[in-house]
Amino acid sequence: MATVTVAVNERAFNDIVMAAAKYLESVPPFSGSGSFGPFSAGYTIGFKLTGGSIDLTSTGRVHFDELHVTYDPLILTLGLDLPHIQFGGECIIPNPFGGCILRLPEVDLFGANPDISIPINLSNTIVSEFSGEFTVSNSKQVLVAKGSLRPHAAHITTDTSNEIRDRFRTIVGTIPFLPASAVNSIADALVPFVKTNLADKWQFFLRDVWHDLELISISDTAVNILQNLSDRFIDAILAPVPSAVRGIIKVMLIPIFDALAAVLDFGDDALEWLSSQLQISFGLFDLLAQLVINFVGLMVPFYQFENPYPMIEDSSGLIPVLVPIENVAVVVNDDEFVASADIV
Amino acid sequence: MALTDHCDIFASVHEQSFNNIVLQLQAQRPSLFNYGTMTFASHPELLCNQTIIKRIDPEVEVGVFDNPVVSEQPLLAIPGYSGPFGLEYCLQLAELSIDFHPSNVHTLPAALAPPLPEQRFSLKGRACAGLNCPSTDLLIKLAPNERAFSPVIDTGTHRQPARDPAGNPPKDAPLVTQTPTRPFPFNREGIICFCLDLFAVLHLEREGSAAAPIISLRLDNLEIVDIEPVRLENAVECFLKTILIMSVLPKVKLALNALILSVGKVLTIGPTPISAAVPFNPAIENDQIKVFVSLTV
Repeated sequence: MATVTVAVNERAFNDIVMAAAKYLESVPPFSGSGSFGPFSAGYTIGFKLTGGSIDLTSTGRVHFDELHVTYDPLILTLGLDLPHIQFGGECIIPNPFGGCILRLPEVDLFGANPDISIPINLSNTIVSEFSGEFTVSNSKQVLVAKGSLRPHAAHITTDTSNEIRDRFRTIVGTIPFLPASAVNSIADALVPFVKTNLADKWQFFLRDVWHDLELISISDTAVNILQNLSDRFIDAILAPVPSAVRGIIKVMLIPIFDALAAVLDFGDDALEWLSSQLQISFGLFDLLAQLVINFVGLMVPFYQFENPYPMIEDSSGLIPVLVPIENVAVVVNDDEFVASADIV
Repeated sequence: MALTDHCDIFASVHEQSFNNIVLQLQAQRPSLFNYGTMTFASHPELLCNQTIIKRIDPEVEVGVFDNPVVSEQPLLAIPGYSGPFGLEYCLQLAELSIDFHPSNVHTLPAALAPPLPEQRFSLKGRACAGLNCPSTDLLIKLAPNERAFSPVIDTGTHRQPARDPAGNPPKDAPLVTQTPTRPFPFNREGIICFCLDLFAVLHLEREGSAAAPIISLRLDNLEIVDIEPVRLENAVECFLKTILIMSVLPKVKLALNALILSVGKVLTIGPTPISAAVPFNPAIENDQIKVFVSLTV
């Protein structure tokens, strides 16, 4: 039996998703603009997590199920700044004693900036969707360069060997047709994320089993457009009716829109199911992203800690207290995510 | 049954983890467990309990990094003696371990009514002390050569001086007026060692209001093994128990509200409330301490 155990259940993961949703709602929208000669463009964008859940599966995977990000507000503003034109104002009756008695009217054209501004309001319309399954694995890194160094010596000795670099170069080198210079550059860029001292390390790796990222989810975006139109229609034709009644009618229509979204999303759901079965992402972008994530994930752990673990760090010249941790394991089952270890 | 059936996050630590951490501390920070005067500090092999010293392995870790094995202490002053000499001594916390219910690490003394009741844990500490006792001949040789006492008969015409002619301090002066700087010549055969085993049974208790719950540590019983005579043992135990209950344990209280974390004002992480499903939090059972945590959005 493990001597230290931490378990987190599915409900906690979903609470974290809900908390993230609430947090996103409290974040003020981002704004920005840019000019390109006479043209300009601006945006105001905010994010809302409007759906989705996390499931823990009996296959040991963490399943992100259709996390929906709705962009609200999303206002794009396109502008055109025409050349400033000014004419008139000339004096037609001069004053012989100085100044002017009568002038032509002054006309100022295109003085604003920009002169033409077209706001495009896509708030609460466009939806991105993310689904995917991930696994977590762990292993212990023991460097050959450590040799016979005792734990305290390894803890304070910086790794100056090329062991990790060479290992990464070998892994990156398996990519066909990649020139040697590119292999070295990619491998060398990843080394600083892992290389520290000569102590052994428990490393945790993330594997992307499959994922499906739709930057614009057709089904949800289409349903949002329909729902927005429907809301406006109800507001227009039932204007004399109290707003509470209109609200009830709108709420009554929500299940219809949800059903419509489900029907429109059927193709996507089928692909996700197939992805899950075949453990591969569909679509060029997703497939490439999966390959990149897994390739980097093969080398760079998302978390690592030293073994023995420095429980009490150096103080006034005393050696740190290093506590050996063995049998580290991460298990995902239907109910919970369990991490365990032995303090020996 | 899942570990998180009645909470969102579950954490448990086995008694073996605590005890292994203590062993690592003893091996890597021995100066936290061994105290002694200059000769003991420079010769840890003279300390009373060598089990803890052998665990250090000074040749490879503590020794290589030149860390002290013993925290050096000043010489023990001799009450009533004003001179440079002081006694050498050592003090060691040779063992410190914990045993969560059910009891299987400690063999509890009969006075603590074993076995350990549910939701209880026991602590065992072994303290060893040693005194380097100089020989009687040496003491006689080094004793100060005080002037003989000359009684002065008060005839009513003579006032008692503040300090007597022999140079002795007045009766209300401190017992030790000079910090000892010189040890008696060290006598390896003169080291007198003894060890005391102390057992304490404790439990965690919830108190305070429902809105502001507090976890406190409660002492159920305490036993020092084999001090003679029995009444001396009882008196020492009573004294220790009084110190613990009146002075130490009231300070070991944890306001549970302080453990409630709010992440970005949207997620609250705190201890799972007591219920029929979670009757104890933390719970002490199956040789572990278990903590149940709930998340609220």
